[in-house]
Amino acid sequence: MSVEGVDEQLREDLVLYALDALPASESAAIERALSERPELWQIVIENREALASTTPASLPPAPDRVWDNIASAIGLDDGDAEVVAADRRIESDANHREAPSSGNVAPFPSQRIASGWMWKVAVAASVAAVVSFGLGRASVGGGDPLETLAKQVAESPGSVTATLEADGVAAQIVLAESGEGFLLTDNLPALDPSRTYQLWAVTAGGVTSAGVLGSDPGVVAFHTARAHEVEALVITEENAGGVVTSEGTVVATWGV
Amino acid sequence: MNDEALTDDELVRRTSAGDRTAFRMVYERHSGSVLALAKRVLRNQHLAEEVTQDVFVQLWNDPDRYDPSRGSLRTFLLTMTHGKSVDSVRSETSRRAREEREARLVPVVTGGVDDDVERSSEADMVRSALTDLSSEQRDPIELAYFGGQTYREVAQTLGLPEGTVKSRIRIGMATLAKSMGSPA
Repeated sequence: MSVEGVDEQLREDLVLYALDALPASESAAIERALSERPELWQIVIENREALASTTPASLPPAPDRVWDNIASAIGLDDGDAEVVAADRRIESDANHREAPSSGNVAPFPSQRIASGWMWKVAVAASVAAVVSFGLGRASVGGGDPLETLAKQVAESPGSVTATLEADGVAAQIVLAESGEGFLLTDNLPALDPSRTYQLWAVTAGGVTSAGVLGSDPGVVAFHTARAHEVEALVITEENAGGVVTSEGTVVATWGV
Repeated sequence: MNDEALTDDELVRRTSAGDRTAFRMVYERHSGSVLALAKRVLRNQHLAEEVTQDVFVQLWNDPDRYDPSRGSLRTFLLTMTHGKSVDSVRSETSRRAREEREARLVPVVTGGVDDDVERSSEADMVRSALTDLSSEQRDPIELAYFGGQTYREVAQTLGLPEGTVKSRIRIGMATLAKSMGSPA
């Protein structure tokens, strides 16, 4: 950062402030410092600009219902909306070719889990000699930025789609070779907020959490092993917040 | 109006003057990113849409809060989005912890493991800029930014001293800013 004369402790706190990672009790002191030394804003701004760069810029607008609610809240009448809508450009897919995130986040990246159903799944998956992902394409609609990203993943080389099923429920997942994946569609019943669906990936190395899907999933992004390494996928129901080792029940499976 | 001919700053200036078409153009340009970030943090479509609505209604009601000297409109909107999303995450976490305390009738000193796992598991979609960082630097940034954790919670989640977390975040952010073309 280009601002001089800032001690390391303050600089660290300014970075944390930019991240919204300071407890409220510590934010007040930083806000006072920013008020007394406006040049410190430069550090916050540079960090916020960097953070903003981690969110794709070329995404289609939010669904129309969001605009409708905004228009209602600010008293925008239908006539205004129609005039504006005439200007609206729906950009082609070609303009949204920004690659989906290829991050390898997994804050517990190396944790292996094995309990209850997990051992059975891992063994069953390891017995399968050939892993046969269907190479179909996900049919997702436009409108939601994540759906757009999911569609790009579905069309990327090496991507695979899989339908996890059991007892009348089904969930379609698309997974890029990079490990980026999306839950596209599902008929999973909404759970009590104290519960959540959680996705697990089975590879030769074991069973790992691919992400917490929430109590009423829509299109959800996740990251797991590379597509060709994934032998099976399992959705379980867990306590809200998810778990490192599954303690819940299996809801739907693929490849098991 | 040709939206490509107008800069964000010009659109906000017009919005400030009550130009609803300009405001709609701001929405068309940025609502996708706003919704995507909110959803990354909140992992809930409905809540993310509510945050998106709040962000744009606030922009309409108080457009002068946007100060071009303090970054781009996109950064302003995403900063607002992140703040609102994190507030929601922390509020939900507090609510859940309170309910658990009441249910168990025993004192709970810190957030439960489940909360930590939730917040960390939610941070599972990032762009390549972050993946260029070492996991040492990337993990605390992701837990804080996409998981909505304070640095103290990040330290608890990762089992590291708070000072170490602060230092790793600062170094990681400097690297990220440099890769984005900002001064390191």
